[in-house]
Amino acid sequence: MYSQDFYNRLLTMALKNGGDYADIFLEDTDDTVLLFDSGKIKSINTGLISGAGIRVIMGGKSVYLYASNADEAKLLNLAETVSQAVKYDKTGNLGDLNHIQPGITHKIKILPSTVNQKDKLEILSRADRAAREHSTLIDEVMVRYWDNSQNVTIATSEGRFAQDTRIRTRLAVSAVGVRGDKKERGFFGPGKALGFELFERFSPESIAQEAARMALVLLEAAPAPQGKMPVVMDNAFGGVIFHEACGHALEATAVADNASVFCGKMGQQIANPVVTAIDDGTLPNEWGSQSFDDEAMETQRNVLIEDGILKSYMVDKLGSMKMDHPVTGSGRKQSYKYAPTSRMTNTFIAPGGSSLEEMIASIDNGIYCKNMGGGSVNPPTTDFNFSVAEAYLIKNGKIDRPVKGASLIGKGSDILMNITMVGKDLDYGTGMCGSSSGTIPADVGQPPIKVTGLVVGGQEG
Amino acid sequence: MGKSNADLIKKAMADKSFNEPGEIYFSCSSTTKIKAHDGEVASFSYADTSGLGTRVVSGEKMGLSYTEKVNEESIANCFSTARENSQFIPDDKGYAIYESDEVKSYDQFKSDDLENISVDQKKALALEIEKQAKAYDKRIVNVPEAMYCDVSNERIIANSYGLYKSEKSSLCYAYAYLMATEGDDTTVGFYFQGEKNFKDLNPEKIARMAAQDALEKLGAGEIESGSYPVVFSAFTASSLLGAFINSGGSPFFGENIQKGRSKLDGKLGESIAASHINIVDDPSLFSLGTASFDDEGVDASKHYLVENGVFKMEMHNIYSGKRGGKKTTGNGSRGYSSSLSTRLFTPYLETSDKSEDALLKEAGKGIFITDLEGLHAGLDQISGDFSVAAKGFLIENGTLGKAVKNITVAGNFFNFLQEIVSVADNIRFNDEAEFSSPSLLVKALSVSGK
Repeated sequence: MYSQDFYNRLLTMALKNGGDYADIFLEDTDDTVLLFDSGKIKSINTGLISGAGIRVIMGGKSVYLYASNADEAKLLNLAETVSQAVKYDKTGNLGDLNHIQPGITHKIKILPSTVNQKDKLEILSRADRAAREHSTLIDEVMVRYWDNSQNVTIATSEGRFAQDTRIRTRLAVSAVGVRGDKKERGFFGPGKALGFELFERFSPESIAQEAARMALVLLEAAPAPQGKMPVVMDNAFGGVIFHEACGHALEATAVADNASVFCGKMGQQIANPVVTAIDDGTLPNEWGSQSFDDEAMETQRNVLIEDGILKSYMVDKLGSMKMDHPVTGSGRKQSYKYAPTSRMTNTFIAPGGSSLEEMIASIDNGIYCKNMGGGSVNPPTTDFNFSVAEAYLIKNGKIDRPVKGASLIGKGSDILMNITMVGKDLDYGTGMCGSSSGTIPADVGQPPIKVTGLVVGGQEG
Repeated sequence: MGKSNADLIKKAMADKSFNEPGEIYFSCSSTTKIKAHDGEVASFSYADTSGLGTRVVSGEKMGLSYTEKVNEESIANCFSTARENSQFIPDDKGYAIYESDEVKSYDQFKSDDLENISVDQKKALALEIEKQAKAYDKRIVNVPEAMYCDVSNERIIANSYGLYKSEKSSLCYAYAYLMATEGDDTTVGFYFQGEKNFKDLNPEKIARMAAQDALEKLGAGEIESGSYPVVFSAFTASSLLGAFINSGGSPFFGENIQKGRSKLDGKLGESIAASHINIVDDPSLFSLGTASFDDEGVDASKHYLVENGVFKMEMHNIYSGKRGGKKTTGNGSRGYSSSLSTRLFTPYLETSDKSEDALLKEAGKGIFITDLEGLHAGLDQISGDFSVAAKGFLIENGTLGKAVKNITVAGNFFNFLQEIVSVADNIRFNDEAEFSSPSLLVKALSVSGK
């Protein structure tokens, strides 16, 4: 822990050859990963992630230097070296550092550091047992427990000084079902910005049973069909469609470099009027929530799309200096090993007025996707893809047999217009999102929605 | 810096306050990243990072712990935490540390020239990629990422049996990610080159290949869903095969086979692929994944996974080897902060003497795939099913026809291996993929379009 004077000194050094802005990011993170497979604990790994980075922004360009194990001498060296990489004729104002207290805190009831290893391990064996007891067809169970306590200190040349502790806990279960020569895997892995009280909300048994249930459904499933057809995507992780089809293309990372299909579309209709979409880093204890982003800005609730109209991008400091848009508390990164950029927090489609039953009933021939896997997107074109983890055919307005092995693809700018019905029951799903500033926890979310014109890519025929 | 780390590690092994076998995994890296945009260096980053992981095997129990604050005290703490962690682990006869007292340093994968390349030369390379790409065709409207990166790394594995192996390696890579626009149509193009030596990076080629990739896709149309013969480009074949063969859930890895997570269980010695298929791992060939020894200190060596279509060898680390009553194949994989898994070094599919054009002729009609997206999510290594977004061209009368977009290609990896009709002669070992393959022709896959 260094004095504010020391941070001031580092910032002054960093800007001595010019620069519009500088910031310092220090991190000490305790991380625990517990693995369980083949009916027993496989490994316990605990460790410390520790380091710092100093960044200077000048004329929309950035220089970022970082190092592990950043003691006082290393920090001074980083500040000196970063300044040598800058030749710029302006120097931003150095404000006196002002310790900012967060407006919103995410209260933790049981800090992971206070829970002994035995109690954590009991969670894993309970999950293993529950998955195996769910059905004799469950042949193998893998359980991964993760808790992470990230302590950060951020100081900026604009005088912002923030300290934040981000606690997250997650339990992920993969259950493999076997019948004959069929082998299928079900997965469920909820996480929250909570400590050990996560398991008061999700019992390990309920997580394991959901994974096992999904594996059994897949054992029954036939290959998915092919072609364009209407799709109903259920709530929670279904929100991955908005995350990929639109979310990434609304990040300043793409928009500021003219590499997004949504450049220059502010105030225009980019989605069906039934769509309102929000990125909200303030939701209490949600997976992607935190008090501050990684640039010492408080996270906020950003309405991205309201009734189909583009209202806001997600913007970090560098992005805001490159484009005419205020910062939105969206500067995030995996660790000190990355410079921050604009990222999502908890991104979701807001509830609408339709019911899941109405959506299903409106389709003669289509797919009902109950659970999704991950996906990706090219922001310049919004060509996106994501995989379907659990799906059923819809025949004549009714849910029919399960199908497997499909991915869904489309072009985000078209598909947003094709979200024709939005349901009532909003829920969130736990995701890890990878981009240029590393892999970060991000929630996706939505109520059930109906989308037309997606290509369903199955193996049938 | 290297010397003081070595001293610290040797001292820590000597000072270790307990008798059980223990191991240190240490790595430190210097990384430079430069992004050019609009004729300027848009971002520059430089880093010195390091970390140290300890592993203790106590009876038939194993514990891990790591730290990025590397000093005498923290290493001692790390060892004692690993030892504590091990006490909660049920006995497993697989846990072991490499019983060897070999002392050796390696630098065969260290770049010959990177140390002498100035930051200005590196910046110039990134700027050149963007400049060449924009000059290639006026339809290349934006190059969001013209990137240059290099990494110099030192890795040390030391254990209480007296093993001390260290390797210095370095490499550089560059890529272009760009946009082409014509009318209302926008496409993206990408090309990546990785090399041991800076002098071999070719900014002109990176720019040209990325630009061609984007331009070729302009004006693409949709096609009818159906079953088509498919030719995969070397790049897409590498990505698809790598995602199955050389990632954590690979059906070729001994631990997955032992634990009911591989359909290759019980298939050793049996035919699992077309009889002309050979899949090899040869660590002596440079690739972005190669090394002289694995992450447990065992020398890396050349193996045939599949020979003439027959499944020849499961890949093992010490843990899975011991569990299966076999020796490690030198394929242990871990970092200082991660637990043990398995990996390959420079795996590839052996070439034939056919050209890519010959494959297109052989196909007659079908689809030539040049772009795959969503591989990280769109496949399951256990069932072998995959369904991924793709782009490419129709093949008509044995030559390339119109560009095709908005399709998925779906199939099953295990059927795929059996249904490879032909492989070409065009392999590159320095792709981004975890695997290198020439272009290949597959009998039929499900393609979803209109």
